[in-house]
Amino acid sequence: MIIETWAVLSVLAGGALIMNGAGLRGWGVPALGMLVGASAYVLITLVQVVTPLPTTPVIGLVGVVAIPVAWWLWRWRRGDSVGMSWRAMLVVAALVVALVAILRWARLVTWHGDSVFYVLSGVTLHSGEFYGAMWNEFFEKRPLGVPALHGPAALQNEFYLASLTPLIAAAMGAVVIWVLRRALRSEVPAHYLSIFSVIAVAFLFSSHRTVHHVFYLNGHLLTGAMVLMAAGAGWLLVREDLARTPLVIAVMAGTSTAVLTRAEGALTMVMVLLPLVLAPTVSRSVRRLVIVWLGTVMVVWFGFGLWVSAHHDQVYSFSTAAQFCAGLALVALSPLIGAPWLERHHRRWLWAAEAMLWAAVAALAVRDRDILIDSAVATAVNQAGAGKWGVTVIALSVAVILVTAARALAGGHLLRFPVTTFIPLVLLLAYLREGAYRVGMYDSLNRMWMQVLPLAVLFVVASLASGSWKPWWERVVTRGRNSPLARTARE
Amino acid sequence: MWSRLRREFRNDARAWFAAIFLLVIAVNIAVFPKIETLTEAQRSKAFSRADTGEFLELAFGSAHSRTRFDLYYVVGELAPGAVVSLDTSAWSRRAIHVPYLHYLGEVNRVESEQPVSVPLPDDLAAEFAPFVVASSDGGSGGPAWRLALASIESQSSDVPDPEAMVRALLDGWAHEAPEAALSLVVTEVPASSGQGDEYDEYVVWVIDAALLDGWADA
Repeated sequence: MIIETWAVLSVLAGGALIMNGAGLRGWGVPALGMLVGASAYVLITLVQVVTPLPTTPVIGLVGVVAIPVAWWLWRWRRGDSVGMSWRAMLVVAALVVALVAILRWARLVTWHGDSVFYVLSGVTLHSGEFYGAMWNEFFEKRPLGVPALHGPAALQNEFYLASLTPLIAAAMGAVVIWVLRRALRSEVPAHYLSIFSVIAVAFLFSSHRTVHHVFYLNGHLLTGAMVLMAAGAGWLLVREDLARTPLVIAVMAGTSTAVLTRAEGALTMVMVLLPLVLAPTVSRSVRRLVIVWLGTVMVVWFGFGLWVSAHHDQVYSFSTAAQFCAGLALVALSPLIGAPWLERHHRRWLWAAEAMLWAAVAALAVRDRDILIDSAVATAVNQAGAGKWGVTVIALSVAVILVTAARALAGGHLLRFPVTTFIPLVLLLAYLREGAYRVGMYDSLNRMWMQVLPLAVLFVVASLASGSWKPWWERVVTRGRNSPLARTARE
Repeated sequence: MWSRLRREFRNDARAWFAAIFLLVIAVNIAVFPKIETLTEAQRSKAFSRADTGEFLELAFGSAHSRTRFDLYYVVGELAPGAVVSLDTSAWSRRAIHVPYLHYLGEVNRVESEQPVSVPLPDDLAAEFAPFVVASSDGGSGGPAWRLALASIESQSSDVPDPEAMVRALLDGWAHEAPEAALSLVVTEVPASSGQGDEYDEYVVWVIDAALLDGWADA
């Protein structure tokens, strides 16, 4: 109990100090702080793993508080505005301690084979057997995020922190509300904002599978929370240029954790960041920063994977090598961001990227249609009951299609793009792993819905609460007339 | 209040959106207990143990764990505290198995990378193709033992009786290695299409129950 409380409070305190020091105020500090703190902890573990530092979780737990405290103190001594409500902090801390106690007592946990891999990898971080326990699969399929976050459990001779994922789920729900309110507070009546905030969270957590993921020892919910935070913060960056620093930190934190938590994390984050990187209203330096950050994390993690393969005399995997090269390419190509030819038709680039994904799926399907057909059938059967999602995925899919076609939300493409590209992306992944998705609640795709669901809920609810009726073809024409290029030509 | 609601529904589409969402949430909540009941039934199969006298059955169902982790649990059940020799010819990824054996198998030490093999009569080996994945000399912790896997991936109904198969294999081994307390672990994959919840197949490990007596005394 003491170790777990220390671990969870360290993650929360570290993240809250980072966000507060960056200028964020209000109840968004603990909400985003929990996710940013988790991200900071995973990053410190990454540094431990790729350097000669010991891999013990103690360093991470001390570092995740000490580094933000040092930064906060430095800003405070410099005279920057870093004030925070100590009373509110104490209330949040007391609430978290109570939740840790309740969740440890309740011992609600679900797992399957992958969970065992994750928690044992976490234990090896403490035991010093980490380097001996790694092989290609670690870099290909089950990266560092979940083992790192549950690693402190080994300090109390346990395999996992019972309260961690539920608290991340709570933070995820709070972030949905925070982003919704922050983005729409000036354009949606207060009572509707409250109603839709409640509806978003109630819809998200009314699904049996979401509740399952809240207590599931795996990285899907964590990735879903990070995708939500990164895309939501990106959306706010496009809509407003105020208090930019905490939003940029949120984007970066979500990016690195998703890459380090799921095998498809890097690809997923490319889809999340692409609309932001192409958004001309966001400063070039911010856009270059986030893409260089994504590339750097990929280079460090997958480069380390290649080094480990060589060290163990193993044949390195294609996936690890390809993602290492992709990371290098992202860093190398980052100066192109902001180029006029790229910005002029930034929305068309997005449609082109999405069309290319579908074209790639079609091309692969011509070569081997069985994977596509089997995946489609299995996914349909899963939605008919075997996947245990209830009506969540079906209802949300219909809503995403309708909202995309008929509602116009300012900057909404930043939320929409990662959601609608999810389908071709997972179909491509089926081909890359050379195996169709299957029927059953532990099927990969059936679990991966959790990674996009929170963002899809935010997109749909925000569009319905704020957007106006406007068929997509009208939007394309209007946008063409009002594009910077068209305006310049008229002038 | 009702008049205000009527006004909202008449003037603002958002009221309809909210109502539809509430309906979907209500459906989700309504089906929640049924889904939970089905899930619970599967979860309860996750680990069970049935002593049938001569043989001990360790059954792992659902959770999709299959042979990936069952081996370690069996070692922990069979011989906690053992010194284990791993056959690296069968388990090339030795590195990851060491911590697994430590934490799930509760072994004391993992050593020897020399292959441990127990030859079988040709007819048995050809039929079941079992291979030894781990063994232990036992020592002060209990009698010697070895674990073998024999996958029966039959899709038909003529899956052999696991106990009869264990008995046959033990008889076959007894001539080759009479000094060791022998055990056999059988992975049984029942006839299923490999689809649906049936994919989380039942895995049954059948173990010579006498072996556990020795460990229980240790």
